[in-house]
Amino acid sequence: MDRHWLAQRLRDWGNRPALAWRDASWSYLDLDRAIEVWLAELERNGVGPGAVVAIRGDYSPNALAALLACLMNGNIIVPLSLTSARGSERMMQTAEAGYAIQFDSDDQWRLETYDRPVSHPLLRALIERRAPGLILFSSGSTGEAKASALDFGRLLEKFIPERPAHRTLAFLLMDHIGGVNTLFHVLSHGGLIVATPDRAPDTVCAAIEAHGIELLPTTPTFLRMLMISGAIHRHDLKSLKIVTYGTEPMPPSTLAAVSESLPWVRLKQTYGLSELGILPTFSRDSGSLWLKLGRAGFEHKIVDGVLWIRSATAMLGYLNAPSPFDSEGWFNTQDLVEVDGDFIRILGRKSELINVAGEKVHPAEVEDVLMQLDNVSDATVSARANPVTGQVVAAKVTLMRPEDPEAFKRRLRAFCRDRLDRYKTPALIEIVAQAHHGERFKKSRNGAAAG
Amino acid sequence: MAEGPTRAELEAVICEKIRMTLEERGGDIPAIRGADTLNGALGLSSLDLAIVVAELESALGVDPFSRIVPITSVRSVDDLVEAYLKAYLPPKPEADEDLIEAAQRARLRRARQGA
Repeated sequence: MDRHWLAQRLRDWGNRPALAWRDASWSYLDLDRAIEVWLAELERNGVGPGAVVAIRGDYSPNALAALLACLMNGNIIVPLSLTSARGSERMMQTAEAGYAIQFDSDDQWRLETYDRPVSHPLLRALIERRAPGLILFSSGSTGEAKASALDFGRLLEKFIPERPAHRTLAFLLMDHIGGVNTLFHVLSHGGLIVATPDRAPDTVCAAIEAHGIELLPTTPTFLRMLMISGAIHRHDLKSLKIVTYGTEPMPPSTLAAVSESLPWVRLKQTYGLSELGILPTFSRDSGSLWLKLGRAGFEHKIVDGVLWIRSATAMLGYLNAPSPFDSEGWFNTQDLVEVDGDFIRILGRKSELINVAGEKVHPAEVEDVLMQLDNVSDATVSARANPVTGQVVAAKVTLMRPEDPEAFKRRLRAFCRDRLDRYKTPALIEIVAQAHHGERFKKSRNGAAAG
Repeated sequence: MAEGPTRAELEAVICEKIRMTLEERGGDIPAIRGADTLNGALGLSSLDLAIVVAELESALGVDPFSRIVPITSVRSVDDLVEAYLKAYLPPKPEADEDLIEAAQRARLRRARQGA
């Protein structure tokens, strides 16, 4: 089998640092050697091309080497995060994984085999084309997570033209399209991946300072926690050049606060989906939520205010759901957008829209206002059924300091009165102590425990 | 409120929530009496009433309008009190179905009359 183009590219980087994990630094040469060891291990265990291999781990040396080896071995890879224990058995069944390489947080591993023949037509198509595959599970809030089957080789082709490398913190998990995109962007261009033991604000900021991180790909929720925790002021973040944010809407107030605290940093909004890949984007400026979607490999259109995308790197389909593409290959993102010339602004998911007697409310708009209220550290807005108006706006709020609940609610409503139409003001306000997001620092609006 | 509030307690809570909603909306706040119609005498809009009902569900932990009482039958403050009193009664399937069926018959009748 012809070796994947990335193999030679990694070898070319030689002694350049590739991965910083705990106190150790791995060079590209170290990674290349580890890949060879893993290729031998795969062969020894009968993991041939076309086998579906689940890899559970984080950005540890052997987990990375195993992932890269499986790519070069022509496998169909199912990355799973260390925290995805619940439901991972079901995911492996859906993916028809015949092998699982389970890493722990110390980079120790074990290889498990399963008697699962690969029969799904989409996976058979990859195998017949001798193409490496990637299966990503959506972090959907309702029902079973959908499994997107992608042609991994096609997805990575955009990294063939060489571009500048960055010292990058691996914030997004490797079972997320953003995490995969970041990882292969960095490795393809000879940059450095810095792994952290956790994603707490002080841990991330300490790593930025210690390793001279230039690029931090992250989420709006994390950036907000960065501000609230004060970690941004306890560490030297001068090395940062670019912070990219995505996976959820960015509240304008959070963007303004981050922009003011990191004036030397370029803030860039990203947009992508497991089903499509990550689109090239261009933010109007660091403080703006208006972005231009790039055209390299992608087309987009707006229908009734909803964004549709057609992509050359789109998934082959879901393994466990009907195809979401129309007859011409267009994908309805369900994201409502505003348009201003070549720029769009993402308002939020159509499904999260709250309908109060026919008046539509975007949760993100209300959350943005609530988070400007003194003593609010986080707010999540969602719909609550109501017999009079169909739905009303409900808000869960976490406070920074204790405050009399009734006095707080009066203060919140007065604050909203000056800033929001009345139907957008939360009719129900609940003060909660638990986090509004899961370990991926993505807000959860479905009312269930975030995870 | 252990086994369901008394009528007087319910009246107090309901009047408090109505008054709070009217205060936040601004404007004059009339005295609230049992016979007062919610929309007419008290001037509660659909949004105002939605807020009152949401507040009552939060405060009382019951929602009489999901299964027991059609919201469309609530015209006055007393109707609201009666609805919440019913929410604390033991379930009476026949009575519930009678109410729901009665509401459905009324809707069909209005439709035939072109109302």
